[in-house]
Amino acid sequence: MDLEDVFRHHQREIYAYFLRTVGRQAEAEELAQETFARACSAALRFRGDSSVRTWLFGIAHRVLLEASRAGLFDRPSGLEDRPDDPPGVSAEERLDLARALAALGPGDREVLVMVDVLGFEPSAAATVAGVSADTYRVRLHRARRRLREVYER
Amino acid sequence: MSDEPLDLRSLADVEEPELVQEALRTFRRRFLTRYLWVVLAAVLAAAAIWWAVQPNSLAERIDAATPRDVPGLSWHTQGVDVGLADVVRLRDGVGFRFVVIPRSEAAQFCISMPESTDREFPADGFDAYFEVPRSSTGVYQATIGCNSRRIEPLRIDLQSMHVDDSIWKES
Repeated sequence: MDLEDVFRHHQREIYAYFLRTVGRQAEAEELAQETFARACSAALRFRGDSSVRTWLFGIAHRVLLEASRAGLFDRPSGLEDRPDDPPGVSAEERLDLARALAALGPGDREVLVMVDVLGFEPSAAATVAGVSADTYRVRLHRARRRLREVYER
Repeated sequence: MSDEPLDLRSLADVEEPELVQEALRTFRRRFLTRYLWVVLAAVLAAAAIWWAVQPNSLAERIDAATPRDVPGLSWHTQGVDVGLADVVRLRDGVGFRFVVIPRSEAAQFCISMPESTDREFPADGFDAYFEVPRSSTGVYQATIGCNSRRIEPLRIDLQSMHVDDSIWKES
């Protein structure tokens, strides 16, 4: 598997990570491309002491942090993505979930996207975020609670 | 309120655009740009170092030039001793270094070469540097002066002094 194949394998979830955290398609694309461009530079230094997925999301997390410091979240997020609805989830329910997620702060969104959208184990997501697993679990619990409050309003 | 987390997995199903090709193009562009700057900086640094070590003044050029000859010729005239210390081949002419040592501190001596195209008299010593055109005969004139008065002409015959003609002879 060469680097391009590896990137393609993770392309969708990296994009989903940014789209669901940032809420805007154009910026999500830009940040995802930046992640892969940096991953090319960093590929030679990757020692395989984490999974490729964790490594890539570590880069994505840093890209997101830098964009956040540059004012990425100062503008209101939008719900521009209206993807095809998977079976079993109505369009309205999906939209409600997306809206509820978008209504949260960026920190809560990121935690929920990593674990509840993309399926990371909390311990692995904590590694990506560079915090302890316990700290991450506390953040996750609070984010889930806030999401439910917004969703059930 | 239920304790079960909401099922957000459906939000992972997104229609992603083509990202990887563009990312690879960005990476290649940055790589080339970064390393072009590194190469350019290295070339400029090397050029600056080379330039800095090049002799610039006439004195530096004469001191560094080859081939050279040390004639050891000297004159002892009214109140001053003059020695012809070096004769060198310069790129466009012949370089002379004289040492002018007055016997009295009160006297102000000077030396000149009428044909010279360049001259230098470092303030902290007794040296006098001249650049003159190459000649067919190897014969040059220098003049010693004191307090603006001409004292003595010096005739310098490089051929009869057996200075190698590769230093002075015009081609």
